[in-house]
Amino acid sequence: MHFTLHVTADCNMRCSYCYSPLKNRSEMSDETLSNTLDFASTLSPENTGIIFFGGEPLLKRKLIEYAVDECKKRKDKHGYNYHFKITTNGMLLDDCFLEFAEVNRVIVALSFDGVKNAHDACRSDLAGSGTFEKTKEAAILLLKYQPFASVLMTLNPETIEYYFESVEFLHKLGFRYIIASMNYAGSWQDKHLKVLKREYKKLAAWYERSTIAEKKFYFSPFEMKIASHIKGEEYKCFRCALGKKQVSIGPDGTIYPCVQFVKDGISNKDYSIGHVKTGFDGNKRNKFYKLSQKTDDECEKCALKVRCNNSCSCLNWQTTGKFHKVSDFLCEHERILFPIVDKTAEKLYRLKTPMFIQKHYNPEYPLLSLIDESL
Amino acid sequence: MKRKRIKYYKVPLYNAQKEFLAKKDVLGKYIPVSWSKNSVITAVLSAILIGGYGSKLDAQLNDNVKKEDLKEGKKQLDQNKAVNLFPPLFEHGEGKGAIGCIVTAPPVFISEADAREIIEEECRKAGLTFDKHDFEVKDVAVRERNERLIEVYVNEKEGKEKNKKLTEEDKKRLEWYIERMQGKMLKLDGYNSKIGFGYEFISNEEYNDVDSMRDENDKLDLVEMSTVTEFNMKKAGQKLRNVLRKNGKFPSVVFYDPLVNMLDDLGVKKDLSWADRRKITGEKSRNLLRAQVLDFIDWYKTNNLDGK
Ligand code: SF4
Ligand code: SF4
Repeated sequence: MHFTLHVTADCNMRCSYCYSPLKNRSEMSDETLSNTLDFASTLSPENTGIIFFGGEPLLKRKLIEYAVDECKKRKDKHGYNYHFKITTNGMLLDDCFLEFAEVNRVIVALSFDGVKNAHDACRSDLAGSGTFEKTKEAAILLLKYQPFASVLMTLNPETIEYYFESVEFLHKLGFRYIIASMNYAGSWQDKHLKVLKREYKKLAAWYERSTIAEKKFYFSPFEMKIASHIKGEEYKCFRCALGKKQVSIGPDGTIYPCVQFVKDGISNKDYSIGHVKTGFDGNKRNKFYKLSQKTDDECEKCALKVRCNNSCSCLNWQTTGKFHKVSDFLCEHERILFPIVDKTAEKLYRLKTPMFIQKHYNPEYPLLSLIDESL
Repeated sequence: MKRKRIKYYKVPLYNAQKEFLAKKDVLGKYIPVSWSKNSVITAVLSAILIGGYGSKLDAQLNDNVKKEDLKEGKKQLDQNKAVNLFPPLFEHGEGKGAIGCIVTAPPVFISEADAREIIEEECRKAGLTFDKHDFEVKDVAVRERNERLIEVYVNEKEGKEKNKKLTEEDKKRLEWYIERMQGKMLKLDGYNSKIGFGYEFISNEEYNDVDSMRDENDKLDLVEMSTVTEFNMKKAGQKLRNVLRKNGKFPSVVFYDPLVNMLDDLGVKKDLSWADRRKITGEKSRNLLRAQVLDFIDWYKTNNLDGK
């Protein structure tokens, strides 16, 4: 099971689309952290995933080091197993932390929106200046230590015209794992959809070219959609299991079903599903889970129902206030993306492009790819 | 901008993984140029190809083994040939379902006793009998004993770990943990000691053990705590088969509970009583298990294991 620890709601940046409120920014104490580890370790002693999240988690570097140390002690004493991840904006990323991450196997993911025009439009520092240059430096440093690090890009209506350019830029910079997420809560309008479609077409051509050229990369929107057809039944495992496979822990130890619900860690307690000290509130947890398993009426009869991203309760709640009701933009986005991705995959399949075949059909692709990279 | 369902979406013209891998030696045909220059990759890839991906591919690989064996002469197809051949998982029934507080369409389970009756009856007709039951496979653990965690949980239960008073619930939980951490060896439901061949049926009682077995092919699985227990019998069957095949000493066929869900399958006939649903669904489940056994018998005869 995975536990996303919101170690602080505070941040050293001010992104325009951030969902962490500016007021009441609380922090996690050593004691809450220790209780969280007790709770998490008892729930899944053999494989506990700890994700340090924020705000900006590196503002609480000492706490992170303390957490990793505590886990080590628990591992030695009880045989528990942990793995760690951190999502950072990169402002405080330095050799010292990356060395610590290397020794303790903390996987670092960097939030970086791509080219300067896209990144600086939304991601500014406390003074309101763009953070592109600093983030780029952090990216280069990160890739030196973790060549397989993921980059997380957020797509906004105002910057959607740079989508393709940004993906290409991040890939050239050295990122192989590009996780692109739409800011579904943004003010999307019809005019943006046209641009989005154009950008996806450019990305499709890039995906095709790069695959034929045997470049190795993971570009989440395309890979997920292709997997939704190729994996068939198994793909259902990727679908939302709200509050079951992973939970978020707020700075004061309150448990939430997913990241979006934490907010400042204080004002959204209606959505809490327990506390690390007292455990899960089973009724609430199941109530939310049950709600998350409902399907939007419109989707119920849709031919894309099973493959579509309509089941993310966290996203649905953020945009429509209901766990199962999808937003208009999400639906439009899916209807634009599917035909473009399927057409690309059909072509690569028809050509029996070796990298496409191995990447999508060989269950051991990650292992083979790793060997290829490391030799 | 609005939500708008799509009435029709054409099935994409690229294979699903299962269909694709069912084609003979298909992955070996499409190797990226950069990989083919890398001797380590090609070695690993060939090992993977020989290791097999799923029942269908395995069945083909087994075919190859059979042809080689035949070339070497009939005498090699003696008692030991069962060791060289390993039956695939015969897939009938999805084997998926869930039970728990929020499940509305529970599956009907086949009991161990019923399953044994079906399996042994069909095998007997094909001349295959099993002289041993609950035959312990000494070196295949369905649960590894975890000394360290046993110690931790025992200490905690006895109040040595923390200075807190344990509630009855805490104690029950700890007892459950302690029980889970004890080792357990696999016991085959039936075994023919003359030809050295057995069978194992995965029932709902055994599911958790098999599901948590470690198979090198497994990716890291997330451990999930929930008031709902979900089953994927087919996957568990495949896992157990892989473990037994790798172990190699006890060739066996694995059957799994097909798990037909009461509502899913009879959704249209809403007026049926639960008892009727249970009866019809149970019958359907047993027929699916029988189909697995009949496929196995075909395989058994095709591979001359019956000595004819
Ligand atoms: S870096 Fe992340 S947490 Fe900080 S303001 Fe930006 S989106 Fe919010
Ligand atoms: S495409 Fe739209 S209507 Fe269809 S399943 Fe997705 S969100 Fe629902």
